[in-house]
Amino acid sequence: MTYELHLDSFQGPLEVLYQLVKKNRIEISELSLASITEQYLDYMEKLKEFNLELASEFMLIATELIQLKLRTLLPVDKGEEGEKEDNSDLVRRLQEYHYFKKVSEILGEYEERGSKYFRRAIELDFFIDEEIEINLDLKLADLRGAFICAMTAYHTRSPEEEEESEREWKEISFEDIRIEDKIDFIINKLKETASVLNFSDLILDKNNRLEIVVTFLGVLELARLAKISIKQEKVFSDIKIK
Amino acid sequence: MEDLIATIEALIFASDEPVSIEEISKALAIRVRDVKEALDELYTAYLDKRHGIYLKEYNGRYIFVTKPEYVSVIKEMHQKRITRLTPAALETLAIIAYKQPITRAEIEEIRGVKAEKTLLTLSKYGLIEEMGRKETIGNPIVYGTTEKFLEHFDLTDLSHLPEVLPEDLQIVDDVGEGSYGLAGGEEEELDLFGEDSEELNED
Repeated sequence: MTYELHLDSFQGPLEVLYQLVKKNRIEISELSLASITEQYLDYMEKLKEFNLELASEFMLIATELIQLKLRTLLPVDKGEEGEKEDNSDLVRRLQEYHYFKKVSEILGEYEERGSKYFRRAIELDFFIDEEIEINLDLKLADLRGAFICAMTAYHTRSPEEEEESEREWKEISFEDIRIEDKIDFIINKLKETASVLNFSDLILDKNNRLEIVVTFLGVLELARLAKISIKQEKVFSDIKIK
Repeated sequence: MEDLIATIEALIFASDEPVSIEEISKALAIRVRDVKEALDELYTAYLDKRHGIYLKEYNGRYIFVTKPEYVSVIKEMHQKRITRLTPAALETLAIIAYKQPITRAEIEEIRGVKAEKTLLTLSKYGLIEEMGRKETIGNPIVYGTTEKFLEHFDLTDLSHLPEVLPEDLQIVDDVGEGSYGLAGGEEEELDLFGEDSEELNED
């Protein structure tokens, strides 16, 4: 599925429609868009081998086009529809798309102009703290020795060490943490606290990943039931609960 | 006055980032109006042909830059690399510049494609930044342009963004093909997977 890699730089269904408008040298209006419906559908026909997600986005616009086409074919009943839907959503979107195309062309020229100025070059050494300069005054043999040491460290462990690490593995056991219990716990905790509660306050054992996950699920469930409200200032910051 | 101009010249020269009038006014304990006056004189002095650099303003901040006529010699001797954005990145940036603060979903609605990767690249180059969160469901991040954006496009401030007149929006008369042009034969394939799968080209 190499197409996946192209998804972001791929210009999408609006671009296809835009290209067709330019190719046919027509205005962006309901009537003109309706006239290129077939061409758009032809293009989609070729697209069938693409992935589903992409195809569905194309489909969405195809349905709008067909709707426009239908409207031009059916006799207009002025009494009911009137001129209510003068400009369809698709026309508006395409006009906006066209506008930003034009703007970005001009911006491209500005960029060319802007690339002609240079600031004073910044002396990087000035910013590097002397203390973080690494002393590489060592012989090649030392480096080689250190490398071998690092690469073979795992294999040269004594049998006792091996056994111990085995045992450590076995000691890990899963506690049974139930979401229901956690929800009760959160509610009780909230009753005790007058103001805002931090998500981190709800975790008893910070090293227990399962507890963190279950607590999080509990918080989400309570939020879904609209019993609490949650807020996170930014990514990875503590979640505030009310 | 001459002393003041020289002092301000030194202050701006020593800074890695553009310096604002307020900063200078605070540092020298003089009025903003006096700083402006001195800056005007400094600007005029450097327009002289004997100088290869001059003063440039971005959003009320000043910095010394080389004059555009020396771009080719500088590029050659110092091996400067110039970052040019791809059409897709330019379009995304244009939308952000005009509609900021704007969420990713709003950008995607206009572009009709995913914008995640482009946004990452634009942030990496310091052309856009997160401006906080919108007060709607999910509290999505909103984006805006930076001062580096102004520098990159040689804009004094956001009010200098280009405007497109209605007559320039005519498609019928628009014979100029641009980078997206699709003139000619009926059977021609639509060029949608352009060569620009990389977000940025350097020349």
